[in-house]
Amino acid sequence: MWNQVHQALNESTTRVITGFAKLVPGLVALIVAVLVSVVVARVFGFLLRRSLRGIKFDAKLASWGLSGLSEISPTGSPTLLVVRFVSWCIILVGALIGIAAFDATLTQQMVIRLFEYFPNFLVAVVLLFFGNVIARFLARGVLIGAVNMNLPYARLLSLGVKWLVIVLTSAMALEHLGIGGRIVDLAFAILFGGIVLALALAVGLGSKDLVSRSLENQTIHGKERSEEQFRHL
Amino acid sequence: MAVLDTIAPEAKERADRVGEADLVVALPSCQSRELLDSVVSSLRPVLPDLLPNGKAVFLYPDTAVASTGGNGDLPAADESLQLFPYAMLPVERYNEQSLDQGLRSLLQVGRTLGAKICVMMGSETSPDSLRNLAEPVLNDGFDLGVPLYARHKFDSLINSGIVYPLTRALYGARLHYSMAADLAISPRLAEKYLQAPHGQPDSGWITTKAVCAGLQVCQVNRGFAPAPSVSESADVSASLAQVLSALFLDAERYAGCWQKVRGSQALRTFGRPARGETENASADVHVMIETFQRGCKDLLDIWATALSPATMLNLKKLARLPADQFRLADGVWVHVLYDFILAHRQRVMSREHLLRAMTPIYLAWVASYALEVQTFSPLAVEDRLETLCAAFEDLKPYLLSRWRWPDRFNP
Repeated sequence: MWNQVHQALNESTTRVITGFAKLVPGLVALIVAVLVSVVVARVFGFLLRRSLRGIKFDAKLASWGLSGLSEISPTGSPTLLVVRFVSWCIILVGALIGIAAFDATLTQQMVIRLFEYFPNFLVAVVLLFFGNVIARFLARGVLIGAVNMNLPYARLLSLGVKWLVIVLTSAMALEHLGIGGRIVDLAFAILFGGIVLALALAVGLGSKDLVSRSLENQTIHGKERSEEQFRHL
Repeated sequence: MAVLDTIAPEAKERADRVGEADLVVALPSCQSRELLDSVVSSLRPVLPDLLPNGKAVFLYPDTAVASTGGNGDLPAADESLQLFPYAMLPVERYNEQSLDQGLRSLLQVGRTLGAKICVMMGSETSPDSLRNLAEPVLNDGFDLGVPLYARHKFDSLINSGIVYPLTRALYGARLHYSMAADLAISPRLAEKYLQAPHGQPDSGWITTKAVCAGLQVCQVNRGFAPAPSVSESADVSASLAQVLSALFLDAERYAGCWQKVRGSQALRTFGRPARGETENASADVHVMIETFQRGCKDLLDIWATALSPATMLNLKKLARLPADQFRLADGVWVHVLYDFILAHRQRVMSREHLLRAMTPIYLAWVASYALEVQTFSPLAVEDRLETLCAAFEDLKPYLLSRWRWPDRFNP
């Protein structure tokens, strides 16, 4: 009996060690692939940064009217944003190559599924990125317009517009990623409706003073309106 | 440099029939048949004095005749006066695009007809206006005649607080209404205007071009400035953004010119100035101050991208002052404008946003100015604006230095 137990233990140990021995090359390959990709990413990042600075990429973007990019870039430089994005892409590709080196069916399937999923992921990232840029642009426009109209809830209005766009693009991104299914739609509808209601309340409360001021100016005779006193042009 | 734009084939045929003309006058505001009739009748008697034995052509919008179905008779043409329909839109003061389109139409026809002078009558169509503007160009060899309007103390505020002092400090010419829509133009300036710099069709204000080209510019005293149209005065923020955009773009276009200029020179001025009476209207500025204070609360982040820290500090201090002590120092106002010019050039954000974000600070200047001059006589108001202009000139080295070295430390 003890012999059988001993044999079973030996066999399982051999199996585990063999399995581990089979895994080690893959693991080493993964580490090497990641390390190499990190080195490649750094070298490529360095060259890319130098070239982009050489062509004054930040200034060119600003001159094309894409100054909003600098606001969401690290240290306000779109060059760094591009360099970091490209570097992380290279590291990700290296990691995928490393995982594929395991030569296991499961990993292969995972890699295949990951590659199939990659376009959706990319579209979601692009959606979030542009959503963010557009949200900031619109929020700033609304804030400036509302302050110039002397609306009391200017910042609230601007925040509302910003989150409307961000929620909309986030819902679109999640749908592309296939996460959440109908829950996302429902949550989006509830959140969107909530923001619109909040905005309506903000505009209503904000314009109360404006309307009363305007009525006052129309009804009280003899009162000189300050706007008529000054001619700007 | 390429000469851009040529006259349309239909208009060319019409010009061939007219032959040559000494004077071409554009009347873009005559958008109806009745108005055209009355303006032509009032201007016709001036022509023999202006051009003895000469020939004039009045350019009017072709829609004026189309509005009556093209059936009515036009005012009678003769040897001394021809009427010339042309596709023209009304010209607005302070609107670079509309004035540019109107001027191009006028100058192209003028060039085709070999005119000795072209006159744009964008806002005023009186006989005196035509005579006064045209005479210095015809008789005294000037290249550009610009009206000089008298003003009430609370009129033309964007011009008084921004356009005049800034253009004077930049280009060194004391031209009070550089964005006027009534102008008399010599063939030499017309040719320069139709030549776009670097092949760009957008050539900026004709007054800036004339001053930077070293041409002879004069001013002609007129009465009070015509009231702005409803569309012109509808939205302060939009009007301000439009004017600032035109000014700042010109500053970029003509950077090579204004960087060499120091101080300013008076221009020869014809006619007698109209004098306004002392007005003691108390200024109601609480809404403007409130808008500025709201801007100081909500737009600080946006202003901080354009303004220097010292200017930001001064604006924050100003926002805390009570209405009776509310005064925006000239130095701070000048720094604000110069910083916005630089931010516009560097495109720190969307240009439209940047220009509109300046509205609360402009309103603060208007409030401060109004509180200060509300009891002043017209002469004292002129002195006050002269002090402001001097501040713009004194601080020009700051703009120059930051224009040339934008990355240098700026406290």
